[in-house]
Formats: sequence, structure tokens, C-alpha cells
Amino acid sequence: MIDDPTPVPPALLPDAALRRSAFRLTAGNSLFVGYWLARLRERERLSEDDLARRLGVLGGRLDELALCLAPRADHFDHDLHAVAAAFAADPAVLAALVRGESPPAPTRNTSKAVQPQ
Amino acid sequence: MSYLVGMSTPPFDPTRAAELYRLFATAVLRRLRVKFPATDTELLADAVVDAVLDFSATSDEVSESAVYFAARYKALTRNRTDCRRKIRDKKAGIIVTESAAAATSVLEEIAIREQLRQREAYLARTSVAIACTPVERQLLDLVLAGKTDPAEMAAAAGLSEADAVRVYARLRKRIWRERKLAATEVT
Repeated sequence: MIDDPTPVPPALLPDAALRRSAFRLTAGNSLFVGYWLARLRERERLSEDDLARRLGVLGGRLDELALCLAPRADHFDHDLHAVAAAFAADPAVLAALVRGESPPAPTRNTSKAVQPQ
Repeated sequence: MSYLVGMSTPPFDPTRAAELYRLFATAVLRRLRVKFPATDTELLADAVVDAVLDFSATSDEVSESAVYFAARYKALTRNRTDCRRKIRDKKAGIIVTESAAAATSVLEEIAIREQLRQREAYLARTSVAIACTPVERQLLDLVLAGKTDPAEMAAAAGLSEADAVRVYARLRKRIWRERKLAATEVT
């Protein structure tokens, strides 16, 4: 409608707002992976990129991972593998994350990493 | 475009919210920003994510429209709550000093100023297109001030009532045309 020569800062872009919302709305509820992501970030003072590297997940998909439900205790392996498969992540790393432990280094290039479906 | 998700979704799918979010969130937020241009994007984004989380708890089929309407309702509710809180805070004379909140308010202020500047520029541009003569401009000012009584218009512009009605009809036609043009530009 009206030309605006000033570029919009990336932090004000809609996708950035959605990412922040995804983290914000899941950080307070331990049913979501986002809660465990927030705890790990806070505990180890990680940036988003560091966190993605640490988990072996693409940085652009961390917000999606945050929205996933944490595995149920009685179906832990099944749920864990479903999440790991969706994000091509190492189940061992995710398991440590949702148990509140420091995740080991991801093993994306080994057979442990679950391939996306 | 409408996507359908969830017909064959099992009762518990830990990644369902992520899938809905990936499919619909950006498009729904874009629609909400068009619908509520003056509302904070963070608030709208919260409404979208909240709606996605709600839908993820059900195994019903979900479309973009369904997410949009749920998010719109949530945005309206949150907006109302936000406005009430601001009015309450203003009445109580509360000054926000917490750093993160202050940083957000600065960003909000910049965004609001930018929106106001754009709105003023848009009004100035469209006023020229709608009212071509001094009489029309005079009547347009009255219309914008909410005065649409033909007798009042006629008295203010020094016209007969019939002429005032004719000019007013012309203005309304042009306003309608400008609105249609603006809607086309947005979509």
C-alpha cells in the first residue's frame, strides 16, 4: 500500500513472533517438550543455536519441537521414537532432555538417529 | 487454500501440535494481522499458538479456517483482557520499570508510531482521491467527524439539502471504491 524503505528487523517479523510464542506458551507446562527445552537453556545458558546443535535438531525447527508433547511414562519408548522420528533426532538425546538430564552429544551420523518418516 | 489434517491421526500423537503449527500458523497469523492491524503481533502469535495447542488435543480434522476462527476468538479475548489491564494499570498509576517489559514497550511504541504514520499517509492519499473540490472536502470532513445528516451538511457547506445529498452520495461511492481498492492491495 505505502512504500516503506526501512527494513523490518528480523525480531519483529511474524515468524519470529510465532517462535517466541511457541517457546513462551510451552515453557510453563512440563507436558510439553518446550518446558524441558527452556529448563536446559536456563540451566546451561544456551542460545537457540547452541540448543539446536546440542540436540542435533535443525535450529529452524526448535519451535516445532517445543510444541511436541513430552513422552508419557507408560509409553515412553513409543512416544520418544515418534518425536525423534519427526525431527530426525537421536532418541537418547531427547530421552535425556525430557528426564531433565544434560543430553549427551547427538549421534546424527550413526544408526541411533531416527530417520524422518 | 484449505488443508485437512487428522483423519487418520491416532488418539495420542506427541507431534500433532508441531504438525498443525507447521501447516497453519504462519498463514493464520498473516490473516490475523490483516484483520487486526493495530494489535500487537506477539498477542496475535500467542492466540495462534494457543489455538493450535487446543486443536492438537483433539483428533478431529482441522482446517486452516478452523484454526483461524479459533485464533481470532482468542485474539479478541486476549485483546480485551490486555486493554482492561492497561486501563486498570493506568488508573492505578503503575509505571513499568522491569527491563524486559520496558524493552517490549519500546518496540510496541515504535510499531504503533509506524502504524499511525502509515494510516495518516493513507488517509491523506485517499482524501485527495475521494474529495476533489473544496465543497466535497468540506463534506468529507463532516462525514469523517460522524456527521451525516443532510440538513447539517447543507448548512455547513452552504448548499441546498438536495445538493448536499447528491454530493454525499458521490462521496460514499468514492469511499466504497477506495475501500475496495485497499482490500485488493492487502490481499
